[in-house]
This record gives sequence, structure tokens and C-alpha cells, in this order.
Amino acid sequence: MNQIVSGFFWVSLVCVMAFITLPLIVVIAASLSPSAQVTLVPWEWTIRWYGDLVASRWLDPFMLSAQIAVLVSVISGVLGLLAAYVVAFEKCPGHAAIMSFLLSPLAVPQIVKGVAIVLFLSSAGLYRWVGTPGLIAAHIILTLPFAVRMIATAMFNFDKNLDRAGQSLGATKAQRIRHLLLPIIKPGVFSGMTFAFIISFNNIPLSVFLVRPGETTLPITVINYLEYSLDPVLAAVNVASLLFVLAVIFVFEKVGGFSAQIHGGSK
Amino acid sequence: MTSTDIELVKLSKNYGSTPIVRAIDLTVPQGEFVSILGPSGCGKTTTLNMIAGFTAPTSGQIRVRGVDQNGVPPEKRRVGLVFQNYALFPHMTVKQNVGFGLRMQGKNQADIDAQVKKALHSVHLDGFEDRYPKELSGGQQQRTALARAIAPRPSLLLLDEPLSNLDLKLREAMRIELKDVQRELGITFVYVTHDQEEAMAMSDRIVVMQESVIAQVGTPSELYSTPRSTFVADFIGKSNIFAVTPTRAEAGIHHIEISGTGLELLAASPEPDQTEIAYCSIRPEAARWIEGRSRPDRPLNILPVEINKIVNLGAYLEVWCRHQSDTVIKSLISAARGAHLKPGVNIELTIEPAAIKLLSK
Repeated sequence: MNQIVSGFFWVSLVCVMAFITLPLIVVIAASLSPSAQVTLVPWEWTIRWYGDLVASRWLDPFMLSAQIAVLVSVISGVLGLLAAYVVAFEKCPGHAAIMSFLLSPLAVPQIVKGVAIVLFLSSAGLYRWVGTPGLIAAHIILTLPFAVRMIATAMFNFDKNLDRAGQSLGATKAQRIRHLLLPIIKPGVFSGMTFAFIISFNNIPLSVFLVRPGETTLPITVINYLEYSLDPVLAAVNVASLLFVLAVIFVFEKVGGFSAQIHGGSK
Repeated sequence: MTSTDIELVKLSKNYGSTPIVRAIDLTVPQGEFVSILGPSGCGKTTTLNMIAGFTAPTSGQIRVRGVDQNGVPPEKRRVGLVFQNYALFPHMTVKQNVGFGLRMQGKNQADIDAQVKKALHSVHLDGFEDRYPKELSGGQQQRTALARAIAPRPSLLLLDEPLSNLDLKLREAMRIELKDVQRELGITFVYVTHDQEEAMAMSDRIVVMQESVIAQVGTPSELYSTPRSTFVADFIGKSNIFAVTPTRAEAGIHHIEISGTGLELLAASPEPDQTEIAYCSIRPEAARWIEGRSRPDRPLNILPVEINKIVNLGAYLEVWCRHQSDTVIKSLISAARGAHLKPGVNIELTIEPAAIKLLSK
């Protein structure tokens, strides 16, 4: 019986993993395609399409996306930390209502948010914000609920007795925040920032309303290109941005140590 | 020289209109080990939190070495705290945990290292400096928490059920260690617990709390030998407690009748007044089984009883004895002596009148 269960477990595990990774494998294979058409020929491959990526057509949108994502991630982290501190740690009056309000953007479809932001900017006479400033602001609206949620969870899990212990040992509030609260919730802050980074870097539905010529993010550039052609360069762009995001996750995890949080231990 | 360390004056705490602690008065001299003992919800932890400064009293005063603590934040009180869940800082090593208080005081690293070493030595944790809390056993974590609390040398240490997460054997060993550390350092300990054995084993004095008020304060032996209420008699150790009505008194001996069964007993208890007698308490070891002895010429309760049930406690047997009046009295008999006893056997219990404590309502 146990063998059947464990066999079933392994089969489902392999299926799920295949389900998740097969599209990626196809994209990777396509990016190595020897001809200008996307073909999947396992024994013939080239990396020449990756050479095209350094052209400004791809490099500029990549740089813009990366800059926006870094800013959005940092700002979401800082704002999320401040909001979560007041709401989840200090439990200010009405904290539950404020928490719901902070998470409410999640309930609004991105398309609706995008239209709303453009309408707001034009009616408020801020149409010149369309472009990078608008993209950053819009992405923060999108990512802040995730950051708040992740950081607030870490704050909720913070044992209040640690704070009391610190207090009884003579630590002032500032010292307790610096030496106890922040180091212990750091993984939560970094996982919130990682989410913000990925969401911003990959965003299409919101960005599509706010880009303008010469200030286009990478996903929007990919979509625009896809309207006219489907070739291995596109696959190479996707593989490169995938590797970039993985590298960012790796760095955040090294600095923030959030896999420890996810796996339920900490060092 | 002993001086007063903590004074609680008419200390009260209400949550809304619910009183949690009602007008407590208590004086603790420097260097005393005092336990606050009571069932959950009696207000003992709230009292501790008020002394620590985490909870502001509704009324009344807390004085530490004569200084009113009202408005003094916890971080300025210099009161050590040991928590039930240890509350060790998980991202710091044992050494960093123990040195935290000294570091916050701005001590230099050499002083910190020396004090940490001393504190760890007094809790027998030498060599564990670089471990993280999760690499320690429960008992080691408990010792680290104790070392962390004593390292800054507070004059007062508050302990909130610190042993209740440990298993029985370790708990018993830690009791002795805690008492040793306290005696060695001369720090006043205020120890909150619901475990009467723990309180009895370690305390110089015990404060028994019941429903927001102090039921009785005394040394462990005072509380055991002269409980002033059925609550204390029942909470501290085991007791046969009966509702009684006094029938008459002569020459300092009260004649009392156990309600419901009509068994008459003689009790020599100075308190309370004849009119206030409502209960009596008899410790199981005071209901003695004495064989074949001539009756002395003085007032004595001698009860022929039949054994009903025997509970083996290891070194002792708790023997449930039924008198013909249907009164059941539990008696403690050493296992060696009572080896041949079994239910159905008739024996005689002797109870000294002075061993029967009379209690008011």
C-alpha cells in the first residue's frame, strides 16, 4: 500500500514539474534554433540570436525595466515596512481596516487600474507623467499589497516576548527595532521586495497604458515585436530575462535569507 | 542587612469593568525568593507584568527600593525577566543573547565578555557561547534565558512559569539549580507559577492568589500547616476537607459534626471563632494508622474504618478509608508498612485534635 502511495506521489510530482518546466524548455530550445524560423531541432543549435540582444532595440527596454523594477522593489519594501510596522506590530487603532484597505488594490483588475491611472493623470493635468514616473507609481500601486502582506506576516509572527525581553534588558524602542525586530523580519522584507521586483519587471497589463515611444519596458517591447514576427531572437530575449530574474532572486535570497523563512527555520 | 526591595501598595488592575487584580499589598525584602502561586486567571501574571512595567496599574503603587515605579518604562526599571517560552533572540548566539543587556547599557566589549562568561558559568553553560538557541535543548535554552536575565545584574528577577515547558525530571533538577543561583547572587526572585510543588520546593515565601486577591501569604510550611481557607488547604498539598457544624466547645476543644454524615470529631484549633467554623481540613498524613496501642487519657479522635481503595504513590499509599458514618477519609501510609493492606480490611485511624484545622467560610 505504501509503495502504491509513494509511486503515485512520484508520478504526480514528475507530472507537475513537467507541466511547469516544459514551456520553458520549449522556449530555451527555440532560442537555440539554427534557422530564422522557430524550429525545434535538438541536434542542431546556435547561440547567435543571443548576440542580437546587445542591440539597443533590446538593451534599452531591458535597462528601463530593470531600473523601474529596482526602484519599485526598494520603494515597496520601505513603504511596506512602514505600513506593516504601524498596522501589524504597533496595531494602531483600526489596524484591521487599514490592512484591508492596503490590500484592496489586489481586488481591482490590472486593466481597470491601468485605465484609471491614465484617466487620473490626464484629468489631473499630469499627463506628462506618462512614461517612467507613471510606470513606477503604477507598479508600486500593484506591488505594495504584496510587500505589505509579506512583511506584515513576518511582523505578526514576531514573538512579542522578544520585544519584552529586549525591553527588560534595557533596550530602547529604537534599539529593539534595530537589533531585534529588523533582523528577525528581514527575510519577510526581502521576500516582499523580491515579489515586487518580479511583478514590476514582468508587468504588461498596467504598463501597456503608461509606456511611450522611447520609454518602453521589456515585456511591452516583446509584445510589440510579437505582433509582426515570431523568431528565435524573441525566445532568446525571454530566456535572458528569465535568467536575469533568477539571478535577482538568488541575490535577494543570499542577502535576505528568505528561503529559511519559507522552509521554516532560521539561522 | 535586609532592606525592602519591592512594595506593592493597594495594587489594582481592571480590564474594563472586570477586576483582574484587586488591592494587593505585599512587601518583599531584598534577596527573598517569593512565589506568586495560583490557578490560571487568578491575576498572578498581570501582577508580574505590572511589576515589570508592561501593564499600567489601574490604581495603587509599586515601589522598588522605595522609588515609585509609576510611569517608569520597563527598559528603565532594570528588572530581569525570564519567560515561559524563553524568548531567546533566535538570530543571536548564546553569547550575544546573554551579552545583550550589557551591550544596550553601552558596556565595553571586555566587560561584556567577562560578565557573560560569569553568567554562563553560574548556569553551567560554559562552552556553549557560540551555539544558536535552536541548537540547544529545552533545558539549555532555559539556562540561557536565565543567564541573559542575570548578566546585567538586576537586583530583581521576575520569572513567569519558567519551568513549565520542561519535562518532569528536568523541572525538578532546574528547581534546585534556580534556588542555588538565587542564593549565590542574592537577587530577589519573584516567581509566578501554578505548580504548588514548585513553589513549595524553592520559595522563602509563597503568595497564594485566588480570584484577583491574595488568599494567604506565608512560608511554605506555614501555608501547609495552617491554611486559612479551604482554597489554600486544597491548593497547597492534599487535604481531606469537610463542611462541618460546631456543636460545642470546652477547654479549648471544639466538637464538630461533619455535615451530611453526622460523624463527630474533636478539634483543637485556636481559630476561627466558634460561630465562624464552617469547614475542617485534615492532611492525609495526619490521619494515622496506629495498631494495638492503649488509648491515652486525653482527647483523641479514633475512628474504626474499612479500607475502600488504595492508590499507590510509590513510597506511600493513599488509603481511602470509610467510617461507618459513610465519611471517607484519605490517609497516607508508608508503602512498606501498608504492604499487606487491601480493600475490605478494617483498621483504626487516629487523628490528633490539633491536626484538624478549622476554617471559616
